[in-house]
Amino acid sequence: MKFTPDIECNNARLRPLTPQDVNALRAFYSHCDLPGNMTAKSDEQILRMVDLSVKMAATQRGMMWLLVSHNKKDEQILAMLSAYDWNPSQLRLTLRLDATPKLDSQTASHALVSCVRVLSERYHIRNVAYQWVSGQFFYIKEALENAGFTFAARLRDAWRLSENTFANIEQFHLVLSDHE
Amino acid sequence: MNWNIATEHYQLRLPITEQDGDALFELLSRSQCVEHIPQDPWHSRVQALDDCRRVAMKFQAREAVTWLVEDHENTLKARISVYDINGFNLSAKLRFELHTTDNNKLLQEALNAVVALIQTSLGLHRLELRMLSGHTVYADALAALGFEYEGCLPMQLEWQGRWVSLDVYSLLLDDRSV
Repeated sequence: MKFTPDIECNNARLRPLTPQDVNALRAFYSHCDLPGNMTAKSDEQILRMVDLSVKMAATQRGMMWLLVSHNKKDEQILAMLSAYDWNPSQLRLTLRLDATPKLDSQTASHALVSCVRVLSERYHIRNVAYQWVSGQFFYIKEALENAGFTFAARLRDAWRLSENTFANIEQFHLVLSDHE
Repeated sequence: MNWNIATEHYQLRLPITEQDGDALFELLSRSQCVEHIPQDPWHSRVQALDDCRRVAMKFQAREAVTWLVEDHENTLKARISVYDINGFNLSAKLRFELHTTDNNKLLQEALNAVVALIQTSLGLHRLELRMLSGHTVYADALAALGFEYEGCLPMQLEWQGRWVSLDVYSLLLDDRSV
């Protein structure tokens, strides 16, 4: 049973993680922009993450998508989009996009808009938060603005980088108009 | 490890499920104690028993620690909780309920003791507090403790028929000397 929907964007698509993505995910983690991100050490760890992504979606706690190029023959991973802190009773959840250098602002913006549309239509989400970790690609903030998000709070040292170092999280929100 | 704390004017101790229900109900059935969270006041004593059991389970799992703050006559004056303890990010959230909202002296004395304990025993780095947006009763006490305002998260929950936003404050524990 498929718990994470495929989402068509303008020039890319969001699709769920599968066990066949192990090699691609290992490569993704070696150059995605998430600060403090440690490369997965084994295939087992990656497979466990894929398994958890299915379980999270099945229990409506979160979802994970790969944002990939449209060309299925030579599919390229552009980013990973995660949905977490899902609170169905309060109609809200949080998103974060971990990007590779292949992603651009326009594609990121389209992906966010498409994802929010599906979340609102299928899961009745009305308040979408986005957490940008200081050190991630700066243009993501431009993509957020284009997708309708506004800055809400700067959470100091909310993201741990290493034993004793931390990064700020900037939290943005998109409250759908029929919710206000 | 001893989780109970004695300050100059108060005793902070872990709740006892079979013993503290009535006193907790008296505290948390007062709307002015909980409206800053925001939360509806308790309306049934069985809520106290249920809450005490949850508190005990979360403490056993070290997901949260809750203290009852009593004066020297053993009168319950406040409850303070550190919850959502995240050992990976070294962060946690804070909430408190005071018997009287104008008791900033109690808040500062008790919170200082709690912060010192969790800094040394849990090694936390960030303590976060979320409060009903625009609720400024505790602003001075929080500022005196070193909490900084970080922003406002819109429409976080539905409360009393309306969607409310929450203000976020935080204290970075490494900035404090124990």
